[in-house]
Amino acid sequence: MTDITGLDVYVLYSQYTTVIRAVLILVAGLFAAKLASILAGRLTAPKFGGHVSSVTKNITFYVLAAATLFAFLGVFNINLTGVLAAAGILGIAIGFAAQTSVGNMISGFFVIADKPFEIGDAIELEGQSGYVLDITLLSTRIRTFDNRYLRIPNSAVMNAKIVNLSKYEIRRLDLVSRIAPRDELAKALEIADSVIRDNDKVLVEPGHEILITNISEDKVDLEIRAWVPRNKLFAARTELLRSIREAFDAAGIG
Amino acid sequence: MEIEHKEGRSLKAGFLGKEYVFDRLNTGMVRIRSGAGVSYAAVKGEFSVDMARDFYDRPYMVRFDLVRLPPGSSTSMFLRLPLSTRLMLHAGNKAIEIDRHVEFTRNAWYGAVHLGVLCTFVQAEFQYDVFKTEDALVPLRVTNRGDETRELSRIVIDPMNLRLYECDNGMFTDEVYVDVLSSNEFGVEYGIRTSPAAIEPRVLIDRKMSIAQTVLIKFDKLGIAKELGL
Repeated sequence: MTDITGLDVYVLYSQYTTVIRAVLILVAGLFAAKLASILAGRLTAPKFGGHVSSVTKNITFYVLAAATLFAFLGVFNINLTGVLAAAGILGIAIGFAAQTSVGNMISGFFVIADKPFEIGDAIELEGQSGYVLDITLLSTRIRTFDNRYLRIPNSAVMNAKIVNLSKYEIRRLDLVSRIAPRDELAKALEIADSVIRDNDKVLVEPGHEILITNISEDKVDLEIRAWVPRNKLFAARTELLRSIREAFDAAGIG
Repeated sequence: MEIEHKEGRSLKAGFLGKEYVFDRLNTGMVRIRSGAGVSYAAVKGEFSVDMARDFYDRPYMVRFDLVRLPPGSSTSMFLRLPLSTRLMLHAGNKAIEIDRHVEFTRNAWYGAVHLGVLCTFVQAEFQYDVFKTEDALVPLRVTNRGDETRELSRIVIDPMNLRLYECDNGMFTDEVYVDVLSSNEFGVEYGIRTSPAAIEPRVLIDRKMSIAQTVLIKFDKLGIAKELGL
């Protein structure tokens, strides 16, 4: 049977208090980190939008969580210099191993800061078009118009030409209608103008234009430029193409 | 609108050339039949049908051919704003829109193409009997406070800032004052009362925008319109 001396009790007591202190620091630190991250997210959301808010929230949490971890280790007198040196070496190793991911992550920050599009926008990117579902630190997720899920790394997004289809409310619709050179040009222009005026999807202002863009031996190209609300672009294109063709046919132009 | 009661639990209503039949199927469901097909409304208790007038959802861009205003002059007129007509089903304190008739379907964009507002397009008419129109009459005063002749070809009126009054002699809105700042640049102020010509005005639709009773549109150096609530 072992004798427990007063010194043993003191050592045991101090070990327990050290553990309790460490656990308290860990719990309180993580709690504070969570609280601060939520606060940071809420403060940035109204000014910078949901996505920047989400990133700020995550960064705040991880920085404070790391500080808590160091404080936790400090309670046990663990030499942080060694840990930091090891972390540095580990960081370099991870950096080499994950340079693509890190590149994507940095590009992610630029995408968020540059704001070429926002969640919900319709965009064209690398020959693909669709709605932006999410912008994470590593990638941009898109639901294409034909309902496919597309994940594009942020480094590719940064280097790609992006067309944001949702940026402006109205779009100019450009159509080419072809007639034969023997047809009466003035009559064709008049008919096209009348068809455009009768279409309720075409805006009265800005006004439309009909240009003659090409006259050759076998054809005359009429380019129609009409402004329409963004969400009526495809319907207006179909209606105008059909109506102009029908009107030309009825007038014997073609 | 003609309403005819049929066999106790049914109701027949004519709405601008279309015929609607409302049948109470059970305590919680009314069937609505029309030429367009069948739909259902989940309403309880006694129901009734009526027509309601309202402004269009978008601001109105009213285009004049061209009005030339001599320096320091002012002109007053009644401007017609078309109203939408809605067929409403009422039950208790609930109302459901069943159909909506909109006469003007052309739209126009006001402002720069990258920064502006989509409006309902209305071509202004000056020769008409003001008290025989179904439209809302806007008492409008246009003033040129400058020292040279200025032109005005279009104005934008946002119905969010207007009250609609049902009067004994027609429908009227609050007064609107337009100050021509330079050619085709203008400031709009919305008044807080209607014309003295309106007989027994009763507010049918209150102002939908609560923050500003007066709105001034100004142009910055780049020609971009800014709407300021005062």
